[in-house]
Amino acid sequence: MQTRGNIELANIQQELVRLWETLEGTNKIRACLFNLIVYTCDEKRADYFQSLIRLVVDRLPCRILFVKGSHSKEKDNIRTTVSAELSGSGDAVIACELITIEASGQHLERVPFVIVPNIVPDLPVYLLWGGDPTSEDSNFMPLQSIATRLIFDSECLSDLPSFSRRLLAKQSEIRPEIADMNWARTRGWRDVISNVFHNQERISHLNDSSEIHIIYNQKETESFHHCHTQAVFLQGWIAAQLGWQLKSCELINDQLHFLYASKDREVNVLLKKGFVDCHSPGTPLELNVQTHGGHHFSLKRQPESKVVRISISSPESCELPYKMLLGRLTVDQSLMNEVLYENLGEHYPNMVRLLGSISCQLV
Amino acid sequence: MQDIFLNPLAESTQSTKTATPCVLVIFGATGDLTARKLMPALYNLAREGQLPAHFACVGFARRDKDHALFRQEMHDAVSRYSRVKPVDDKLWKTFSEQLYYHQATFTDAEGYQRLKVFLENLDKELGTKGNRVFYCSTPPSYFPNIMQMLGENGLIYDAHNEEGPWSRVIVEKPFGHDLESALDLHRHTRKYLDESQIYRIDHYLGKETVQNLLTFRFANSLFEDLWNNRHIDHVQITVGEDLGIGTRGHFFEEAGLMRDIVQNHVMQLLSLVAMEPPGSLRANAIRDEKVKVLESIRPIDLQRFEDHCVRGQYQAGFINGDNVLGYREENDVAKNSAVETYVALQLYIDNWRWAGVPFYIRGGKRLPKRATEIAIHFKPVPNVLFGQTRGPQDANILVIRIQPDEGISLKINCKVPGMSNLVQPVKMDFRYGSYFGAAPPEAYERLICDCILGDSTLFARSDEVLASWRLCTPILQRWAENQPQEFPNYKAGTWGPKESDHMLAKAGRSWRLM
Repeated sequence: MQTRGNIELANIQQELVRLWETLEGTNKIRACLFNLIVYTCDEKRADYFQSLIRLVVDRLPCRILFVKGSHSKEKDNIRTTVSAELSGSGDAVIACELITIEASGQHLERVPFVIVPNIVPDLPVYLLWGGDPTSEDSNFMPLQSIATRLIFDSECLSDLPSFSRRLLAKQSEIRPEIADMNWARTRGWRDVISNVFHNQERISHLNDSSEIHIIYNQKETESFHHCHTQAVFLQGWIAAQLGWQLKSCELINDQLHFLYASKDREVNVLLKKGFVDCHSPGTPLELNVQTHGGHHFSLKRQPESKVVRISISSPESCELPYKMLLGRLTVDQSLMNEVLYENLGEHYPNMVRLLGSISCQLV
Repeated sequence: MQDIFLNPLAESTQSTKTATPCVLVIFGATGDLTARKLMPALYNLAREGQLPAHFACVGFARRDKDHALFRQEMHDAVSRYSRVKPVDDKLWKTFSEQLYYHQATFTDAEGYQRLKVFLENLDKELGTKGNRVFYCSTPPSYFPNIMQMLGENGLIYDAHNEEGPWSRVIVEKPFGHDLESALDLHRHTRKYLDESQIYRIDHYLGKETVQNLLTFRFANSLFEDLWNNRHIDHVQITVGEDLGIGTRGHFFEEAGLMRDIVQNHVMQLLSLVAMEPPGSLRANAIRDEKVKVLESIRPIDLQRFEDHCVRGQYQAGFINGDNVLGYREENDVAKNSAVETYVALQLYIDNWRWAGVPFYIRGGKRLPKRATEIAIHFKPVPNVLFGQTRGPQDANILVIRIQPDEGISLKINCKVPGMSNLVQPVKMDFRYGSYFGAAPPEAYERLICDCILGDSTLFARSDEVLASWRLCTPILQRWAENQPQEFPNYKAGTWGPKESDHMLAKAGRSWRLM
């Protein structure tokens, strides 16, 4: 990795040119598929985003503009570094450009003025907003106005329902399409669930649910504290797509209880904590559905694998268990594809609308 | 090209042209243009052997100095502004011996009479054969007077006498202030000069990338079939500068951006993009086609003026790491100035090729970056195969980068490797610097050289200038009659006022992010 630190803002392009000149004649291929702006004012999550950038660079070459902001008035400056991030080996080492901007105090509001001239034209601009975009950060609106897609990291949100309500209220002002990292992470489970409940009969069983338990991986790390988020999304997605009405939501004994009305029945949804060290924080581990008619569906992720074991039984019979994969590609690749490329459809906004109707605190 | 000397001893494949002996007189030689552009251009032409063997340059200005002082000042200027450094001392010694200074005022006939004698002596001494180029590097208000003085003091020859020496006059933009003044200037100039003797410089035409527009369009069969309203959705032409007005407050308060950039540079780019193929590469063959384009541009509908014309003025902002002042806070600018520093236009060319294709033009000071580009936006594909291809933002775009990072890029769509049919835009990119290594000549080098050769292809003809004024003058008049209520209306470091975005948004389009 070639790096030049603390360069003048006016010299960013010059430094990039110089960087590539030093790499010329080596086996490095310069490539760029899109622009990725990563913006965070949470110092604690900066390392997490750095690792995310690494993940992206390893899969998809791009120009990254990484903004590490601070609202602190103690520091009041703006610094820039430029580097080439390398991935691959042998004859196919791909080099991407990383422009890191650290801004604090009054200089933070200058960030859009630094970002805009350094976008690679004609390529998509993805804005990964590492904060609550509905909070008052004056950089959000100018940056989202140039973005093709806005990516949230709902891990940064302490109050999902409140965020959902504010997001719905601001929908008309937000220009680009919206993606959500945690929503993307639930893709594998959503695919599995939709494959299990794949026909009218199975959907009717789901609508006949009396209890749904979702166990999620309560594995807190420095970067992950809101481990319940994916589970909340998953149950909210099921409820929204099936048209259930939320009646109540409570936090009892550190477990989230949701009560839905499904036609003339009630559905209790319980989110429970689990722990499996080898799986990612917050990932759903198990989904169990018990219906009023005595059917039972168990979807359980196997330890140390991306396989979900599915067991289905009824009062009359017990089906042979079978397995499904959580996504056909690696989790990382599917995350990238989901976040950067997939059509978002209506499921996410439907789920957000439902979450917006939750009135209780989720933590 | 009719005025080029064809050496019978030269190989037919020889690409270099041979210039005839001449003297170049620069009026306003102590000014900024001479120091920054003209003298470095002459030096580099000398360095590359492009100047005539018998050549002299005479600086004509009011200030009191002698040849030696002028030569020293020009050495300092070339050392600072030449594209090739350091100055070659040996070359400079020879070159500087061809530099002279003539002190006189622009309005005093006696000064021109002395000049005539001086030049005739140079002809005898240096063998420059009486050929003359007069370069008006002065404020435009002096042009009429200078031409009159040149004409009345026998310094301009009869253009139709092909056996005798030749004389040519180079003038810089602006050519007039509006249509009426441009016509007046034209009539006045024609009293003393034939059209073939007038070389109106638009330095954009001297840029390699602008010259390449003709080559790109007409030396490649691939694009010509697509270059029309069946395939092109719209064209965007942007001339953006991150600089403010600097020390040109006086000038800019009189001119504004429309006169400074749009009426000349932008119209030249538009005419080259939109013109029909010329019958030959002769100067008038090309210029005829450019004029046809300009005359086909639909006049602005004054009933729907705001739909087609947007103006702006920058306020304080942040560019390249620095806080910058707003326009009204600049030196020599009125605190309530109504002068525009940003212009955006929606134009239509009413001919068979371009009917229905909007040309979106924008130019501005204090934009986020310095960039001049032409972006050809092709029509999107029917959205029946790839759900990812959602609309105009995913359509193919051909971008011709005039400056900086000179080159051409083409945005196309490709399949993302994997099991699905996801689509990702990618760019095919050509960069001058990567392919051709050495820096191309500066615009003024090419233009001065062409004038000496008598090739007027890269100079604006009178009808081009007047056609451009016919389009721009009603806009200027409308703005003059309606003072802007909302100035300043964009922050320095942004891409202009929101009204400019709305102009495209109404048609479901947007300015390309550069």
